[in-house]
Amino acid sequence: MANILIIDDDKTVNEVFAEIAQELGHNALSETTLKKGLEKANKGDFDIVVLDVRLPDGDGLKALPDIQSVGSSPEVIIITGYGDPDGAELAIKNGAWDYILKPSSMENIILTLTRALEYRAEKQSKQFPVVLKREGIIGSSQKMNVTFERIAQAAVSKANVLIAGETGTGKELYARAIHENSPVANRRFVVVDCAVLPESLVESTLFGHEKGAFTGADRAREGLIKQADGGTLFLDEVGELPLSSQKAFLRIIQEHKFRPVGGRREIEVEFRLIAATNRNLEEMADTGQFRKDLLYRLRSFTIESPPLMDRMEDIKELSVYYSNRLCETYEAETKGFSPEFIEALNLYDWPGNVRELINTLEETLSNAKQEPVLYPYHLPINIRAKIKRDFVNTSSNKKDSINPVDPLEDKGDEIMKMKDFRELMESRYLKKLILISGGSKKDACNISGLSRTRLFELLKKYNIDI
Amino acid sequence: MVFIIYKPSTNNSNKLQRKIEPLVSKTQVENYSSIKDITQRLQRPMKEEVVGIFMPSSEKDLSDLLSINHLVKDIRIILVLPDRDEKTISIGHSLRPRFLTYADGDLSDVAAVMIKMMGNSREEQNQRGEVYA
Repeated sequence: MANILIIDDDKTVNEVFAEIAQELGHNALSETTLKKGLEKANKGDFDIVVLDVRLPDGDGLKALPDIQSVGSSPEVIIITGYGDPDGAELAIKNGAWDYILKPSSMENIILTLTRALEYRAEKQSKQFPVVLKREGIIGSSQKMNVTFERIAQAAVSKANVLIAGETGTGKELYARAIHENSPVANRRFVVVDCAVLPESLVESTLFGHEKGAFTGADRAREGLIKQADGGTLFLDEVGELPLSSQKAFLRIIQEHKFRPVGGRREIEVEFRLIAATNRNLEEMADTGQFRKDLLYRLRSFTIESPPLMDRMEDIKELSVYYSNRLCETYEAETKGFSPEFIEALNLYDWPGNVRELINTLEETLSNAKQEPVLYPYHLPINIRAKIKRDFVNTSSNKKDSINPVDPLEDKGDEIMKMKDFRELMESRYLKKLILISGGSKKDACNISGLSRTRLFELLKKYNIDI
Repeated sequence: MVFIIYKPSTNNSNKLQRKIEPLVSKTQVENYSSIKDITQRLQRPMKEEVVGIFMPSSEKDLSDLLSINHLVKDIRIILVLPDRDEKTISIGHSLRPRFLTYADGDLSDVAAVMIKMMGNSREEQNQRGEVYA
């Protein structure tokens, strides 16, 4: 019997959910405000919290981390009467179990509750690593806490894992952490970098070949798949795997056996598969560049590798860790950080993510030479210039805005998320840019310094017509 | 892109040299033949994107390379193993190479992977240049 808490200001919704829960044999309690709901969640031992988005005293989505962090760590199902794709995405990325729209059918509510409880039972029956080995994965933001939980879940599961995220976000570190915390940690972790394999080498590298299988095959060779037998195979940049090899690889995942190139005998293998990509595999599958059946197999369990921009609260911790590591490598004294240096790091948007941060720190340390404390002046010149440019843009937007409402005007303790603020500013900037460039794309690029590609990306993102 | 090459002097190391020379300019290649020398190099800052091509002469030499694993965590490695023993292969995978091959082959696969890496790097630079120009 599970305990379910429903937080919705609509009493009818509370009653419907409570009735369904009770019919399924569970206990159900409800509250109509966020404050009372949080109090109850903190006091009780709830397995599931059904949480409305728009509550009279606050936003359910914003309270999601607070609900998740109560003692019983309940699964959270978001319900809303307002379909908001961004909200749905945000909820799922922040670890909500599901996001359902009101009104929802009885069957859908039953199915969602049942699945969430099944998942919870399975999760509780498994022994997660008490201390997650997470070498090189730094951060304590909400985004990273969700990621750590996913890594721990993946480590004890046998499901194939797909790690998705931008370049430089550390996908290989996550894959390694899953392996290191798994029951096969003492076996091999075999990396296949699909992006560096020329098409002509893919099959012989993966499957191996017999002597004489093709010109140049002067001896037999064991493939990486066989070498991963009993351990973990990490297929990095899986979106680069040629279509011609995808079918053969799919068969290995399905049947756990393969035939080396030119071989007659089938070889059986058992390995844990982790794949990673910076590409949109669904989009690739829709356009025929990636096999849908392979995609479905790969993404049995997915982990989002968040971009650095979405976890800026980790930047100080990351910088201290990597700066110390670099100083150790160079056998140099560790450096201190001035407050202005940290502020400057926070003002940059890090399109190259953690990898760019590491490279930047490396150059910064080199520029600082023997100086014991790092200042913004030590940063690479391109980063300093970009920070200054953005600062001037933001200031000019503030002075002469199309929408004069100041998002930072005093509203007591309320302040919007930095990401939302940034998006608001970008949107305003673009509107002003289009206005002063008279709708000319070329002029807009010249004035803003944006490339055509980036300009179009941003206009599409903010739904602005030119 | 710079290739940092570790290859103690053997017959096979000349074979590697012959494969690499036509592909890259001399300024793009740094050669080291002892663990001490390559350790010292890796303890200096990298100003460009670096790929390590390591061709240890024996399992012992490979184990010595593994002892400086902490210095190569952030660079991509092409590893040429000295033999095909299970133990050697296991130690090799501990270095997390992006490509792994064997010294008894003709090493044309190393050349093909280098060409692919250089192509990818150029493409990334062009994209970055276009987006952030």
